[in-house]
Amino acid sequence: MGVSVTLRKQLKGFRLDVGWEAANELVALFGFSGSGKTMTLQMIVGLVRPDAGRVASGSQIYFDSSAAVDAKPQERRFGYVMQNPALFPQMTVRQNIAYGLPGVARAMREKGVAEMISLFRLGHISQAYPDRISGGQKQRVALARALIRRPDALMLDEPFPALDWPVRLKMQALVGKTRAEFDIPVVLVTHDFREVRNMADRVIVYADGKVVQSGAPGEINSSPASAQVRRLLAAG
Amino acid sequence: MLDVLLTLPLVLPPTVTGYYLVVLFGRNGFIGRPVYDLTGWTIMFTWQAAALASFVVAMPLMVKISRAAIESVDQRLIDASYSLGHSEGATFFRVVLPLAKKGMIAALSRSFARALGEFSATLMLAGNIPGRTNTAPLAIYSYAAGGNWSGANGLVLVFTAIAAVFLFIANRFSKRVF
Repeated sequence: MGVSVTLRKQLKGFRLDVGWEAANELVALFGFSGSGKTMTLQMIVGLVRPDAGRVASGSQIYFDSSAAVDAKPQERRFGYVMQNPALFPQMTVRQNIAYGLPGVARAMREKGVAEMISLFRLGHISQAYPDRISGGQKQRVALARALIRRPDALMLDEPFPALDWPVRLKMQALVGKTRAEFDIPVVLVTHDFREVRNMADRVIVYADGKVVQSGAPGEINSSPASAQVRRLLAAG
Repeated sequence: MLDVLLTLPLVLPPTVTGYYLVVLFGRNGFIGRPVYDLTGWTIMFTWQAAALASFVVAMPLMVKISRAAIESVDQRLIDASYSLGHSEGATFFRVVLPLAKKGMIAALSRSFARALGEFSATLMLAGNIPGRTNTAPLAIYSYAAGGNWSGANGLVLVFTAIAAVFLFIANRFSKRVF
């Protein structure tokens, strides 16, 4: 299992042109805001259409401009968590998680929801509405909701910057634990190198819509490929 | 184009809207004549005409306000629903509609109130035939014009009471939803 992408898109004043692969590991997309990291995830999950390229997960091809393949987001088996947890305000925590498992018999769904609630320790707030829970709890619900249908890979778009550092540390550990539990590739978008060091097996460094370096976090840290990457490390 | 057509009744004087309706649905109208030739029936001066006039005048409010309510739903929630495997239809019924409910109820109450008060377009298309097409506002006008003050007073009170009760219910309801 692995995710492989090549993506090209021309926007006004910005050009994205990237290609990379993520095996069964935690890969961090690291770079300044506006370098194309978020757009990359949106293209992988099918919310933004690339001009050209290919998105594949294992043997599944979800997008291929040369073969006119373009699967809808609901047909792509990715878990996706945004910076804003985007919980449905009219549903309880339990209902939000259950919503992540469409088209499944009620008994099966109940079982899945119960598993997720215990895995992410949400039992005490399962009947609460999203406006009554903390930021860290919201992100845990968003993770549970994204993972309940056992996706083939998990995409995390800066899921923790709104949280305090101690809560972030806990969430970082939880994502690591989750990756081990579900045994799937995880792609994490971040502009914080501490987060990269704590979590990532491998880093892909983005700048101005291109991949400028990739490797283990320690490698990047000790030998940045350019002055640009050095500046990024200093800022992050 | 469709938007302009739908919005016109909002800005035109209702008399003008009523005139257009007569041109369209009158016995010699573009739609009215074939219908009359075929069935010998015309909508002119019937209660259906009063209903049609109210509908045409009130519908733009309904459409405009509900559309604003639907468009105000956070796009990120819609994206989240798609990425969780839900179709456009399921997303509309389970995410968009529940979150736009408050605005939809407001739209319904506003357009209903507009329809209740409809006067000029009704007068143009349905006339003011006692017992048949004299809607409450028309009847009040007739009473007042004819010096029947007790009749006018009674209807005005009833009308005010209906409107107040309706607004009360609408307010209660829209506070209860999210």
